[in-house]
Amino acid sequence: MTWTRVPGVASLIWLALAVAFFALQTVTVPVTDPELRDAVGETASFAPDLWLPLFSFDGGTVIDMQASNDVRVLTFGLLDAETRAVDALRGTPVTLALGWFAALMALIEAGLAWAFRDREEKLVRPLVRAAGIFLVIWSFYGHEPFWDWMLRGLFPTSPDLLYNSNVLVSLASQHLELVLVSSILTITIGLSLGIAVTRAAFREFLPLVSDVVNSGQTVPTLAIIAIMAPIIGFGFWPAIVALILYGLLPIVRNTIVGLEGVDPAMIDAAKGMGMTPTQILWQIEVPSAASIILAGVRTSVVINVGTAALGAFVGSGGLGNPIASGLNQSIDPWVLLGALAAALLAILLDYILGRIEYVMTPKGLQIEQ
Amino acid sequence: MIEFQNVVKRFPDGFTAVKGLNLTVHDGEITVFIGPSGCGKTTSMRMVNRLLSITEGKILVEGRDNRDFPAEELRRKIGYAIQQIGLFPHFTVLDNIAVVPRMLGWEESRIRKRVDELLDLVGLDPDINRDKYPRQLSGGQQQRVGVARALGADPPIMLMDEPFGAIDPITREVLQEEFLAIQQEIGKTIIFVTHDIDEAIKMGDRIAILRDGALEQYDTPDNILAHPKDRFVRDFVGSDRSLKRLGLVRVSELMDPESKPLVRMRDSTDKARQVIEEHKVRSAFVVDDEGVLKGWVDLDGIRHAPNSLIDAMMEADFHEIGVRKGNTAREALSAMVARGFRITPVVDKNGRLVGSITLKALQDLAEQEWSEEEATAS
Ligand SMILES: Nc1ncnc2c1ncn2[C@@H]1O[C@H](COP(=O)(O)OP(=O)(O)OP(=O)(O)O)[C@@H](O)[C@H]1O
Ligand SMILES: [Mg+2]
Repeated sequence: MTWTRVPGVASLIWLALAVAFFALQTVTVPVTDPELRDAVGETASFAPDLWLPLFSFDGGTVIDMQASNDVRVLTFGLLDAETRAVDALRGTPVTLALGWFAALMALIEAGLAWAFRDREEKLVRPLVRAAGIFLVIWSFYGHEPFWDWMLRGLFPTSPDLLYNSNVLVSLASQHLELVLVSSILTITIGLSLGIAVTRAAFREFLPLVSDVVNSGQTVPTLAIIAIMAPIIGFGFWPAIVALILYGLLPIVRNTIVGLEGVDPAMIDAAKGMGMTPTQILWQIEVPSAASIILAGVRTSVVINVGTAALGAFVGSGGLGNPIASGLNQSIDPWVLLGALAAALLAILLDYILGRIEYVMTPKGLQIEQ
Repeated sequence: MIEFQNVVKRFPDGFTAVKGLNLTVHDGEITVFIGPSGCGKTTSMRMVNRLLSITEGKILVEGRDNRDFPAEELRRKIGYAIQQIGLFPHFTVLDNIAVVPRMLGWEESRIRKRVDELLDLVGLDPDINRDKYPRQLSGGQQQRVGVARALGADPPIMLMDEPFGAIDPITREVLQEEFLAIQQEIGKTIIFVTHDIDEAIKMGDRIAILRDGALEQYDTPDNILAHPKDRFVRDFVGSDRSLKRLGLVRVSELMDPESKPLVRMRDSTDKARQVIEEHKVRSAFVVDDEGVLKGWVDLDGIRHAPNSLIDAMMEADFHEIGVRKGNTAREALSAMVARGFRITPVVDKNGRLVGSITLKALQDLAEQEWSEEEATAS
């Protein structure tokens, strides 16, 4: 029994987080800009501009912090950097964000703990928890002042910290789009290939497919991209093709290994009981191989996050952009920004896929502690 | 009924594993396929539910060519249990047993009832085991679940390929006994593959001895032991087949209910001496007023304590020195050898003496067999 299984602990942790977020949340500052003063009065209250558009609640003044030095804001407890101020004020009451969100999560966790008080439940709770943690991390991730503060710590003298103001989230979104689109295609193709070549009808192709998939990974991605670009053109799709070719190996390999590793006696028993090949595949083979296949998916997706950065060279956008530009113009913070952001993304996706893997591994196959 | 008619199995590599098998498996009987490794037992069995195709000839299942049924439908009617058990580790015990009933579209309430019934039948407490996963069970328990699963939808026919093969000898015997008791109740038509001759003799109503893909001899265990067709079968059943045959004969068939060299505890030692001499035995059994066996007395004892039978007798528990009618002749022999008796008392469950069985009776049985064999050999 780990501490996370103690009923209510998760809920208490969220509650503590909520209190902390609320405590750090609102900062009141004098408004110096005369125009702005007319609009909001002597002082303005600011809530941290964390990227959580989905979770907006009343409780502050909406301010989009952008360039202007008139107002100094302490945005987040950690952050005593200057924010680049306020150029506009959407006079509606806002929002925050993390405090409320954490409070909501505390409620949800408490509710779940009560609902599942006397049985082990491993689908809803881990997923809810993963989603909650993801959103919290993602709000920091998308919070530019936070990056600004961090990079300034590392490069105190550099004039160009953020690659471009307010683009991190859009770069990351492009990056995610690349990764998700390519991963979905890779998973579909990889699973189908792996399943097909382990069926009796196509078994003769097994060595061929193994070879092709293996060699796919030995060709440098950049080479694939370079070959693809003239054929397909620049932009999104050549990068996707390269990512698919590159990400296929772990999935196909693990699918084959997983399916081939299913105890033949089990399949014999299934057949002998009159299960159809389709039933055997989906009810027996795939569930038995699920954890191995999902490990392959996880590896593939994580590899893709790194590889997708190369997409910048064919103009597919993504977090490779600041890296490429940073390298071109010798601006280290940009390189670091892209690399760190990509690494964080990889860790985040790995965590989520790890939870999914855990949830999708059939209970009878899990190792007992 | 399952009928093999000139069944031939040739594998794609050209190897002929079954060479024209003709054999009828009778309803409600356990037919054991036995033979040396690689003789085609498994191959023959797997053609019945069409896990392997038949090259030539045909197999009739309930009077119909088994190729007339769609393969899956045929298999759902035939229970299948194998040595490796092949339980699905991600299914609970309930789900494992419910596989075929679910495919047949049974209602969930009926399935639950059936599963509990089957778990009871194979000696597993349903409330404790129903929701367990296979890895939470011992090997013997898994084997029981395997048998319960094969019985899932109450198929009239069962194929069992060394179902108790992976089990230690003690548990195997327990499972064999239990399965025989179950079979008494359910009376399935069963093909049972084994390469253990003792298991074959114990489990089989009939034994089919296979050799190199052909039927060598097909008969009841007793006949096979008494009249092995040729040298191969004789070697196969082993040189101790007389002893094995004693394992098929019950004490009740050989005992003499009249011959009871017995004295009562309150009788005199003279009476005891008289009984011993009269019956030409070395010792007489001593019973109490209810006729319950209390021990025995021999001439040595009488010499030491000529005045009191109670002092002269050797006291013993009837469980230890007596055999029951249901015991095998082999067990009676074992009891005699262990105690140096030429005669062993037969008791009922309360310890009352109901007769005796003599070493001579056992010898006679073996001799009769021997002479029969001489006759067939010449
Ligand atoms: N798929 C196959 N292809 C070629 N030969 C096979 C195949 N399966 C079995 N055989 C051969 O057929 C023969 C009979 O095999 P089978 O499995 O029926 O033996 P068995 O009597 O069950 O032996 P055991 O007691 O070892 O289980 C063996 O010689 C085996 O090598
Ligand atoms: Mg075999």
